Amino acid sequence: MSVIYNRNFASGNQRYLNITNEDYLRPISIGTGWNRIRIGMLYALGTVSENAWPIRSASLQLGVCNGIQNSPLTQNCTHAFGFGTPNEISNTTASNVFTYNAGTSGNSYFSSTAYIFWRVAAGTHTTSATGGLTVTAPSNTTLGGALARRGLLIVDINKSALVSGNITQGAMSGAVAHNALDLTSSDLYSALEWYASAPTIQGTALNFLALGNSLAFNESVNGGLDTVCLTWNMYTVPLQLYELAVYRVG
Amino acid sequence: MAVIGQQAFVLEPTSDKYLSLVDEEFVRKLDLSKFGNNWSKIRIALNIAFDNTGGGNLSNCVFFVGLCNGTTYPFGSQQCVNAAGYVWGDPIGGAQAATYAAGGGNPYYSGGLSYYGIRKVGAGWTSATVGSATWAFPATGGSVERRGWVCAEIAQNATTVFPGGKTEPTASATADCWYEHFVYATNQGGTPYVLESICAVNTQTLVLGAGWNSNPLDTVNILWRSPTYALRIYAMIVTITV
Repeated sequence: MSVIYNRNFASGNQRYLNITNEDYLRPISIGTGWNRIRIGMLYALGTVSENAWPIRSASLQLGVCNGIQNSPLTQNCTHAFGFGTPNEISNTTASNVFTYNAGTSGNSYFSSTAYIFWRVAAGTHTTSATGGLTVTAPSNTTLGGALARRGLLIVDINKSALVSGNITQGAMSGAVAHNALDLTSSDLYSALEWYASAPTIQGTALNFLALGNSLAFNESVNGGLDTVCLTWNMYTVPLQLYELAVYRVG
Repeated sequence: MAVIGQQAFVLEPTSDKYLSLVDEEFVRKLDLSKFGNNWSKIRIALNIAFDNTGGGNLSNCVFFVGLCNGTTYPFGSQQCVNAAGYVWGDPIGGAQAATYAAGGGNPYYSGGLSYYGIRKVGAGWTSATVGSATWAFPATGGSVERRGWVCAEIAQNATTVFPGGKTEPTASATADCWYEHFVYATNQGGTPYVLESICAVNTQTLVLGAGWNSNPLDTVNILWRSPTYALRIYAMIVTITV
């Protein structure tokens, strides 16, 4: 069960949702009335027993789905779109890993070049993964003098029309340099609103993948995409969710 | 008779209870009421150790981890209704011995046992062994008291069962797979890592035909056949994929 904790940062104390092999779903107030939204989060990942080991078989998914009863994790999910790294939800071999990186001054972080944009329609998964993006996430450890840090991940979802057509998706993540910094709410909001190209946050450009990876959608047939969904599949390595924000671009 | 014991460890849980089986069978019915027989995969992971022989091979050893139908006629029964899983050792004669390895003071067993993906009905069974794997099961005692990781993964469809076996490798059998790593290994799909060493994995395909699972596999079934040495089960995790 997800638990709420709090943690001190240089900018003050912040609560977080500790997610372990769970999903978090929340309807958005605008329902399906959007053409393009960005979903962003501030987060950190636990380590494997404070060891310099990769997180194996990890699966982090962020996107939208049809109501809270249709998490993309369910076998009969009617409709969902999103971004996954390093393994997609339906990947049974789950061979990709979040690679451990020592970082500087103890500020360790995880990285992955493996990602997938996915669609679930009537229980069937379809994926697309062209382009290149490195996702990085700070670890939650403060051993070795590390800062308490939050990182960010943003998914950009764009409909070609309001109800049916194609959805293209993009994504952004903190760059390597960001993992030695603590990213705050204002950094997240700046990145969400900066949609022309790779946002520059605290002096460094985010890792950025522009809209692409087109997949067809039909909300009349499969249900409206009106709920934000976040899933994390590891029991023993938690995902600390500090903030989740949705920005309607259009 | 199966008994509950308690063992001290350096790592958590530092005082861990275990179920001890000596030439016995453990069965526990699962609550599958939400989806009946419509599951695609069940994974049974055990945190275990075999009794330490003190240096000799562990003779007359058979170790089955899998599923059966109900609790009355499990894998070991001559009237077994339906069982499928992975077995180490010879389930007919049971005369094989698990090979003792000194492990630099932290002994374990590896080799000496045949291994099968198996399905059993009555006294007969269907089995297959394709490929090979180097299994490892920690022994009790040693410089450091240890728990190991063993897993059976049974996938099914209308005509076929895919019984697979997994254990930690010899590289990690000399260390304690304590609770967090037991859960972490079980959490991993495909070929897991225990204490960052890649596990031994073997999966078989048994094409049985339509109706093979009309007596559903709904019960966890563990058989240990050694009249002298015990199997210790410290923890068990069952994960179900529908």
